[in-house]
Amino acid sequence: MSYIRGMPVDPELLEILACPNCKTPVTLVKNGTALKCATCKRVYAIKDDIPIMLIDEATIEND
Amino acid sequence: MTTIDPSAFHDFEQAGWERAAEHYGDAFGSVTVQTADALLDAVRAAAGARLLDVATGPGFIAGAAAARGAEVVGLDFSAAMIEEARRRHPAITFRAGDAEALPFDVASFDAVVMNFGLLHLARPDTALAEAHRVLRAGGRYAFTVWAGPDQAVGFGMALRAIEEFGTTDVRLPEGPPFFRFSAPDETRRTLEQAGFTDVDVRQLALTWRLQSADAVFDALSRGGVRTAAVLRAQTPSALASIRAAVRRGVEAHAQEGGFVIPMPAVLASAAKR
Repeated sequence: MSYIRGMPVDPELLEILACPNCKTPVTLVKNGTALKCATCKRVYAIKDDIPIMLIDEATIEND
Repeated sequence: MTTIDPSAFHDFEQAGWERAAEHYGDAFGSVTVQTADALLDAVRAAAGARLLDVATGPGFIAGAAAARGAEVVGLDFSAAMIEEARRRHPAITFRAGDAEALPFDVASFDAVVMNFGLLHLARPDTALAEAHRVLRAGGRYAFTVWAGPDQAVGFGMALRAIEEFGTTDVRLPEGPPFFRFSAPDETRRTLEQAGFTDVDVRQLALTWRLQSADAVFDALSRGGVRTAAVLRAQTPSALASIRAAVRRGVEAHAQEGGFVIPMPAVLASAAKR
């Protein structure tokens, strides 16, 4: 598992990351600074390279 | 029967760990890290295994798993803990996430572990079901909790002192019983209910080596959440009596110029069919 500075969300890890609410895949949005669930529209921030995958801290952003 | 509001207890624990994060490692780290080998052996963590460490705290088990060559993800619901973990283990991948709502797809890991995390959760049964969900078929799960307070004597002496000199009737969000999973039958039943098979429950003989007779009180009042909150709710005079009683309890375990407190843990492990 590689840790590349500036690209901290390893693609292989992104593949297994899921929305904690829906368990469906999340995709990078906002120039790679957040992850969004296509199902419930929750957006999870990435702070200091750490995805904050907490339902209570997500925002809901409709397309 | 007491009504438990899981959301209130969840938020209480989460906020508590934000405060305790910087103290937890010094308070309990020297004893909680002693489970690492047994915990990792129980899930057959070897080089290349994809391992999730839930409630990673300062990342003790994540670090030990990475040292074995496992591909580790550490998860904690406290941002302060994640920061602490990352400071100690800059090369390991950490995510902020909740044991009760894991942010991973089904069958993502070969092994899932949780070291002394289950007793802090509002919905431990949900956490076990979530661990089961993210494991691949044939993957293994293991967790540790403290043995009962009669055996994990650091807790026993504190709880007795609070009962004798203070009050346990404090306004705190009610949570599940702290020692629920110390009982092997309950642990086995709950794991099987979550869908696990091949359940094994055994005890690990951990010891807490301390230099100061006040270290147990200090650890409980700063490095944890539930007992710390009970202690904060005491009157100053009750608190002084509790502190003195715990000190006397620790002094009874003087050994080798310091103090050696038995703090056995229960290790439970199981497989996903």
